[in-house]
Amino acid sequence: MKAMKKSSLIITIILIFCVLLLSFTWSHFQSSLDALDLPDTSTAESYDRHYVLIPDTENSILWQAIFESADQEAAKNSAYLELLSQDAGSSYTKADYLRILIASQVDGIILKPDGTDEVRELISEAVSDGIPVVTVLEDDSDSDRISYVGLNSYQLADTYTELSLSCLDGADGEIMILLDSESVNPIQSLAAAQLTRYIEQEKADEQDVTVSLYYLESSTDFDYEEGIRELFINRSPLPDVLICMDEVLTECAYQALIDYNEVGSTDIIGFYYSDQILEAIEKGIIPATLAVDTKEVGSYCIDALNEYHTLDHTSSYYSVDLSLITQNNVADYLADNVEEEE
Amino acid sequence: MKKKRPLPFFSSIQSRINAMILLVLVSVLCMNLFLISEINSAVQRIDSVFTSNVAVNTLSDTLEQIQNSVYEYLNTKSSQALEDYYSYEQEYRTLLEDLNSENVDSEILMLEKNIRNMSESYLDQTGVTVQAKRGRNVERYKESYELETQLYSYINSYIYRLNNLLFAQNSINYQTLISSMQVLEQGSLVIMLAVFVVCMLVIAIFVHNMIHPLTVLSSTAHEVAGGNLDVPQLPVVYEDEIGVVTRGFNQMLASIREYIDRLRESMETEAQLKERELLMGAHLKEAQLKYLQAQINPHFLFNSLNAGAQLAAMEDADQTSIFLERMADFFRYNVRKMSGDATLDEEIQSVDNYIYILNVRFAGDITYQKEIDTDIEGIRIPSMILQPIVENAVQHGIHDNLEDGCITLAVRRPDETLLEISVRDNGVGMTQEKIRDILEDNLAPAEEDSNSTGVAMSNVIHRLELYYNQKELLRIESDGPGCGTQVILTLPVA
Repeated sequence: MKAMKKSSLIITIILIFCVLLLSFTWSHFQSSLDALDLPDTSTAESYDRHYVLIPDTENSILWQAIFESADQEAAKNSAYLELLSQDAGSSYTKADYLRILIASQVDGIILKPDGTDEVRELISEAVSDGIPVVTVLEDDSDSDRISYVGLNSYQLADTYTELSLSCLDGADGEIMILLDSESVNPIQSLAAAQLTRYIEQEKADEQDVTVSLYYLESSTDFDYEEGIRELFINRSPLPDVLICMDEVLTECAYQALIDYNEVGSTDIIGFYYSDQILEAIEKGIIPATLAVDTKEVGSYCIDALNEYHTLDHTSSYYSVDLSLITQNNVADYLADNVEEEE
Repeated sequence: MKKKRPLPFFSSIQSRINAMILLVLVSVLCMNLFLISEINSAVQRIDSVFTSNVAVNTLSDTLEQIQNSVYEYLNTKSSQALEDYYSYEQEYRTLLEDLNSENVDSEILMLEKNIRNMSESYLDQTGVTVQAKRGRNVERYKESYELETQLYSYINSYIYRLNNLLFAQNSINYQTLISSMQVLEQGSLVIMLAVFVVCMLVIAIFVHNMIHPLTVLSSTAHEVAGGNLDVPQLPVVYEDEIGVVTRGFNQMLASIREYIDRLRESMETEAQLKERELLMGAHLKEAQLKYLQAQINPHFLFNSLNAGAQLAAMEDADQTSIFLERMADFFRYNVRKMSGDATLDEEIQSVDNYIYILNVRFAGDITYQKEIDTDIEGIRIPSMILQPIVENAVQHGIHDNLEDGCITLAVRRPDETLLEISVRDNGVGMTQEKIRDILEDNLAPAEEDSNSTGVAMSNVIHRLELYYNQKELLRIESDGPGCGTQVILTLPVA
């Protein structure tokens, strides 16, 4: 009888174990099935409007920063901001993207125009189709864009002048402005022209400063790097100051400086920053770079689009602040970057 | 024949085996059903994982069909192409209904929305193209076709991207499913193992419980067959067929034991009876031997006595003749009745003869009285009982004073079943120790009298006990030396 009780106990324990195992297996299996990420409109957050940001280079810190601030602002205003991803393999131009977005009937487009007629016409076509377009960092005032958010070319030229002359430190020298030949960017061109004029005005009387423009091809990918390489090989001696009006251009020039062992022979004044550029500033290889307040840029873009949707018009120009990154304040930006990465 | 009471349903071995098999089968069935349902839901999920890709591919195919049919129509203006175009357009519009049209926080859903909107623009454009072709507006339809083709390529690239995104997501889902399937597989293995162990345990316990009483029963039966009936009662664990057999075995064993006990008892009784008979025979033989030793040839003696009696009668010596005749009667009775029993009357007659002989011998000194106040006819008692008692009374009681000696023989019946015979003398009497010694047969051989007829009191007592198979039939009473002695026989009468 005792043995019988013992065996019944063993069977009961095994049965309980089986039931527990069964429920564990079942619940685990069901939860893993439920965890499958199937797109579901019922759970995702929905928005009233759909804006699209066409970045120049999707992965650059500048465009990422602009997107993040604009996205936050858009979310506050019940708008979904899409960062148009550019597949490495796709050969779509800004014009193609504009056509796609017009056909997709989005509620707003933010882009940096490349100054081509095609883009200008498409911007106008979009606006006429009821899709407001905001230009950012670069303007195309001839188009029907509703607003421009970016730097003031005068302010830009003024800051570059000041920095260039401080690099020359009263000595004679050559200042070279690296420009994109394709875009014929009005802001860049305007800034370059103003820069030339300002330097003439600001330099010391006996100082001999020449300002030259160097146009880089950018019709296809990787053209910047090839153009810079060419400059470093063909130009000897290098100009005393290289003004780069683009983040990628700044990085390329900095890399070339190291590759061709020209550190110290020329001063690079960059535009915006990346880890590499900040590192270079910290080491003193690049004396300074200009930075825009990306938070302002992002929120102004969304504000402009929202205002247009609400009031049917908006301010045609939003000026954003310009800041200077030098060895003195580079630590703040490096700290910010570390925080963001974390 | 008593009708057998059927066993309760769950008590019979058959139903218990059925229940056990049912239990095992049901557990295995449940386990299989569970596993099948889990595998089914997993397979359905796997199916659904790539359904989205399939849907997108269908969308892409239909779009291509529209583009082809528009091209065909522009190229040939065939009505079949136009018909195809309308049918594909309708189909495509239906497919578009499934795509997301809301602004939601999901890259895939927003891509769907873009594709949906672009497709609507595309369909509008194809409509314009077809209308222009119908209206033979060559320039317009060519321009429209160009725009439409451009949109077609944009949509395709978006569909391609959507497909890629879905595929990437579905692949992750697929991986999750596969890993959960592995968990299911391992869990199933453990469950199957556990169910197997449980079933084996259940079967083992059940078989043990069923077979154990049988094993005990067979070993006990073997022991009983070997002759050992002293085995304990077997416990009845279950009221099943084996329980019934065990109970029957227990009863059979008890019956055998009872029968053997009864047999032994009756054999013992028979042996006792035989022993009694043998003892009686031995005592009679002993008495007979004593007589034979005492009187070498009684027949010769009492024939001679008879001849003497006849001679005395012829000579007219009547006293002598009677004396010799009673002597002859006395010895004849003794010789004739040495075995078996005799009537009480014959016994008393023998005592009368003996007293007469003694009185002749001792010149009529002994006073002999008979007090028979009941009918003694037909009452049988063992022979040669009274005479030895009377002889003892004479020899030990009144021998020294025969002149005053008195012997009283009394017979009475206190009730229907008892006969009381007493022989009383007024002689020397005896102490209680002596009485005890006589009754317990502790007398020394020297105390036996050589003058007696040879039959001692112990012989009388033993023969009475053997005849009646009862003790304490004879008692001796005396108030002490000089107060006389009374020997009382209390015999049962049939």
